[in-house]
Amino acid sequence: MISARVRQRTVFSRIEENLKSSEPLEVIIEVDERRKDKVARELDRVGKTLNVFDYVPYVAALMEPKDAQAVANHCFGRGSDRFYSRLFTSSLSALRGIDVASEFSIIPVTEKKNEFVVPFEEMWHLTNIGAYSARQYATGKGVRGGIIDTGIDYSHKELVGRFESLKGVDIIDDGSPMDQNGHGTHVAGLAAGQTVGVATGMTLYAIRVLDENGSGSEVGVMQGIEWAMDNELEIVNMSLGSGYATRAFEELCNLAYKQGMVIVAAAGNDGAKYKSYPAAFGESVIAVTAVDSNDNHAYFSNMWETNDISAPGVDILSSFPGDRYKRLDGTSMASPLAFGSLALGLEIVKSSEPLEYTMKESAKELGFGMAPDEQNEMYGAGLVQADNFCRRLAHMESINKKGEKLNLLEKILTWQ
Amino acid sequence: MAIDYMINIKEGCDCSLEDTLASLKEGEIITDYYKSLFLNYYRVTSENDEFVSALEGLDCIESVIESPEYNAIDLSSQIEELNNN
Repeated sequence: MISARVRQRTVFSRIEENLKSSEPLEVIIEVDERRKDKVARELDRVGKTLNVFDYVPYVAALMEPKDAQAVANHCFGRGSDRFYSRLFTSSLSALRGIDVASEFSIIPVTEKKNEFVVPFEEMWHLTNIGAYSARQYATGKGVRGGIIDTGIDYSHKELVGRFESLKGVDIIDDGSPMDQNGHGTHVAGLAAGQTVGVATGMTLYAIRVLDENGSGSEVGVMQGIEWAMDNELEIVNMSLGSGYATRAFEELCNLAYKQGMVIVAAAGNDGAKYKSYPAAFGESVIAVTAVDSNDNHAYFSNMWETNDISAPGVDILSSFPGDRYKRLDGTSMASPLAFGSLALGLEIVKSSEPLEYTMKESAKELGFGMAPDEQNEMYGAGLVQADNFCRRLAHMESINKKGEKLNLLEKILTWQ
Repeated sequence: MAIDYMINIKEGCDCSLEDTLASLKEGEIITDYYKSLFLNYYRVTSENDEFVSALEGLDCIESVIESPEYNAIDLSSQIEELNNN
């Protein structure tokens, strides 16, 4: 066990490592349980409170390294900064300790041969949907999901550990499902990448149905879904579409849905009241529209009555073949963020049944003041909030378990 | 360039379509074929639709259609630009 003194030294050295940078640090602050909401409000003055944990006396926040150092100085008895004494007007004494959240820290990535650092702000797509805070509930561990797309560069460092020996299937060339376009790798990064993705613990399968130009046939896409069904994948993402679909494709999606598979699809980028399949199939598919960093409707995102939920899709940074990172726009980028969030839910409840309803109920409502139909066409139920979604599912699961225990107790008592 | 076709078949039919497709593949008239695991259709990949005449007389076939094209939903010029740079 690490002693308190060693732990404090580690915290100081990790903060000091970041002092030269002005990039914000993700920190976890231990607080007086009764005053954590007050601390959170005051923390918002120096940084941004990311989460007030329900069951433990901690608050997660983003703050400048120098501010984190001042908090550490106070908590670990190195003297209080006057500024902090004034700032935490009523909660300074409620601060108990601070740690740097390593999994949230800034990760250097390489683009071509020039190293650069991805600032934390680049991950707004994760912050805005509560993906970091959701990690206290689940990471998607044990959930098997398919990315039906152009393949995936499964050797990308962002995706290390996300694949098993079977990488997926190549429906196009009957070879390896390695990405020859870039689209699928970008999508996969958002779904499960270790720094840019949501479900950092899930297992991915690359289902290559689109060629190097990003095109494929419907019947090829259907074969990809059948592969996913045959291999018992629990969830698939389709950041692809067409304005026309056969009844057979819809029938297959319905069948997969009835068998318990969660199907997530991009709403389309025609920027109009326009339907794109498979997103427009309705009940069997969770259709995802795109918003920007201010939660405004993305100009290119299709509006249609089957839209279910919104997620970030403008200027989104993610993995690109060859260990690179690129920014792309599209409902293609929004869809895997919802997919990753749903994978977290699958880890918690092990069932597809409550997922769509709970995701919609826990979403952040967008488009206030709009007519309900218009609001739904543009935003669905609103912006994905992965943390709220997981919290509700975890709560439901704990009630179910209590119920099971009571049933068992009742049976035992009946036998006696 | 190979094109994908969908051959819809009648439910429960046990005709010689699979044998026919196998011989068409062997004769390089079609590139490949796949039988659906869950629904009543075959996917046939071929350079053209010449194979359709070889299927005439098979009772189980309901329709042969060229499969609709599907595309990745990004703003496609972006990927093209990224790959060119």
